[in-house]
Amino acid sequence: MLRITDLHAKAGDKPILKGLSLSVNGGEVHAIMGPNGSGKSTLAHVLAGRPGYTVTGGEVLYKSSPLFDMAPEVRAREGVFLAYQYPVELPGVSNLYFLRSALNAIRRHRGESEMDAMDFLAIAKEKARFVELDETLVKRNVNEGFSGGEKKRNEIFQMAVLEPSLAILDETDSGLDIDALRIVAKGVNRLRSEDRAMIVVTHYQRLLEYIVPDFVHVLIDGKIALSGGKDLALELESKGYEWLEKEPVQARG
Amino acid sequence: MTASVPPFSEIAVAAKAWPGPAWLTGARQAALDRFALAGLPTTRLEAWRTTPLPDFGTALGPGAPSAGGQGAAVVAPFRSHGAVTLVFVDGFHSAELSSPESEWPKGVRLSPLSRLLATAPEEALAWLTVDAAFSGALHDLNTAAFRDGATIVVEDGVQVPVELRVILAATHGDRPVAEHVRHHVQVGRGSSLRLTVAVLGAPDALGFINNRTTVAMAESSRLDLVRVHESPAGVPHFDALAATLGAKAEFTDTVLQTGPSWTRSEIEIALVGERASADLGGVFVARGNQMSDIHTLLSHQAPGVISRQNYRGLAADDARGVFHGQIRVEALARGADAVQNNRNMLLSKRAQVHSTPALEIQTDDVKCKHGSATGQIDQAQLFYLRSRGIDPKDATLMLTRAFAGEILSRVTAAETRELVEAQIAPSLEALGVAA
Ligand SMILES: Nc1ncnc2c1ncn2[C@@H]1O[C@H](COP(=O)(O)OP(=O)(O)OP(=O)(O)O)[C@@H](O)[C@H]1O
Ligand SMILES: [Mg+2]
Repeated sequence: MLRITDLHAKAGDKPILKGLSLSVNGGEVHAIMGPNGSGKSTLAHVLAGRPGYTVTGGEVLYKSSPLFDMAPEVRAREGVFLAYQYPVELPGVSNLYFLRSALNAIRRHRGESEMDAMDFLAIAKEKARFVELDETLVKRNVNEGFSGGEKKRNEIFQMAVLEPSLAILDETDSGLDIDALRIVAKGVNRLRSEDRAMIVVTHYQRLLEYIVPDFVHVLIDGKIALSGGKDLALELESKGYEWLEKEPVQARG
Repeated sequence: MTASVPPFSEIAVAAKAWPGPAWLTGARQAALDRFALAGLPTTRLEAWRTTPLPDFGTALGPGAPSAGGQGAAVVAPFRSHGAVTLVFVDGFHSAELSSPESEWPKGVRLSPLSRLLATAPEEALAWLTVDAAFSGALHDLNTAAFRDGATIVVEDGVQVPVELRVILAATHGDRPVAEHVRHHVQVGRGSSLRLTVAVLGAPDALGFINNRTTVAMAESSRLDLVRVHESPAGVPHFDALAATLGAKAEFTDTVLQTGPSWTRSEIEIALVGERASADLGGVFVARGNQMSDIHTLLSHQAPGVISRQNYRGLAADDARGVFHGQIRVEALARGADAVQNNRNMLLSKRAQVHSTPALEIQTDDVKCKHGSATGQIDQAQLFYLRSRGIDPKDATLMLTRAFAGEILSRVTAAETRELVEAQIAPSLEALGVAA
């Protein structure tokens, strides 16, 4: 699904990713943890194609094709989805209209027929119910005046509608109450399948109790410092990151 | 003397032969003399510093009433809903395209100005000869050369149940004509009226529209005005609105200046009665080499008056936009409350918008706020849309539509909203493509 090899990237003028390698296969859930500022969001943004970042080295293959040859919207149509750490507000743009446009862009790309407003509304309602997103929020402008938690839930709602192949969740759990966390996890788990993969960026082991990862990686200073199984998250919770920052550690697990 | 402003000299000559009461002939001649003396405004005048006039060509004809033609097609969408319409084709009332008199609402005296001048000219005397604070050559030209327009007088205590629509259609494609149109709206004590004014035209029309509206609102009256400025590319449009608000009168105006032609709107509101309030908003959309200009003057002249202004502009390609918003608070206007907000979005590196607030405040007992911001499309928003699969062009369109949509949402009557939304949609779409 995704093969990142020796990726180097700058945010603005500042080198952030410094030789990151990671392979994600269909059906897998990978958790990425790591200290603040280590480059987790940078990785997510570089994969989504956000302007302001420069890739200075390495390679990323997505479904065996070079990811960086694709414009951001093409990546999305090919199934890459980023749930943002800080979702943007779009005043005056209705959630339903926005999401239907997105879904239809993806459908056109796949050679499928576009969905009309009525059919789409039915799907949107079903998915909203599933992620327990209030129907009034579904009809409001995208994230405008949403609370922090509502914005995150709206990201998961979008993911549920767009059904991506590769979902990257950047701290979707931050700022969520326990119930919301459970709902987000439900949304993610429901999408888990052999032909989908997820990268879940989180600071908290708690999320990983709900979304049980196949692998846990620790990102430190722009590189994967350590990889392991789901128990690594527990270990990190008690030991912190300091021991990893000091000495290089061999990959385990 | 009158031959000194070439594109209009033919009109000046013709005007001398137009029928009318002596006071009108005198007023026309005086206006014509002022116009000839001043000449067309140039960028040397402060009020025109950033707004060069369009090229009017060598000669503009005075036009004449015409039957049939493209008028019917141009105004069709605005006639299809349950409203009472008054239609003017190339500056002349078209009885054929207007609502029949049997549909006119009770308690409202409606008349084409041409008819009023023929039957009861004294009724027009007061408001045809009064001078507004915004003045200048194009205003004088209107007085000298207007032929027709809508006159709407709502009697006291009448809540007009239907929306009135005044529609101008420019259709002359063979030879450019100048249409000078003059409307007057009077809303009686405690009355209310909804009015939509649309300036439209056939795509290949040529000429110039000089449209002037005066509004007089009595105590506790209400007027909700929606204006659509969509004259075709070959028909520059100069528009003047002057409203006087009596005590506790409530006035709202929303101007959607989205058409492809050179357009300038002057909006002048005098809040002369205690606690009168004006809630104004508008958006201009300019593309290609277009120039679009909105000038406002809010004159606060009585205690407790309130004004709100929310104007937005979108400029693409090589277009230029102007927002000039003047707030004047006189010493008498204790406790006045004035807010002005202007936001502009530039869709190309070459597009420009000049935004200037101008405040003249003669009392300390006033709340006055103004803000202006001009910037590019928000990159984070654009990327958010792209990262969901939406084409950059569609994403831009979505964001510009949303930007203009916040002004459109001022139009609360569902039918009107739908109508104007459909009318301006192609203009916004063209903008998306150009960007
Ligand atoms: N445009 C930029 N120019 C310069 N530095 C930047 C830019 N964008 C991000 N950075 C820096 O890059 C570093 C990595 O940021 P990033 O957002 O990837 O961290 P993160 O691992 O997601 O952290 P957190 O856990 O706090 O979300 C930070 O030090 C940040 O300040
Ligand atoms: Mg981050």
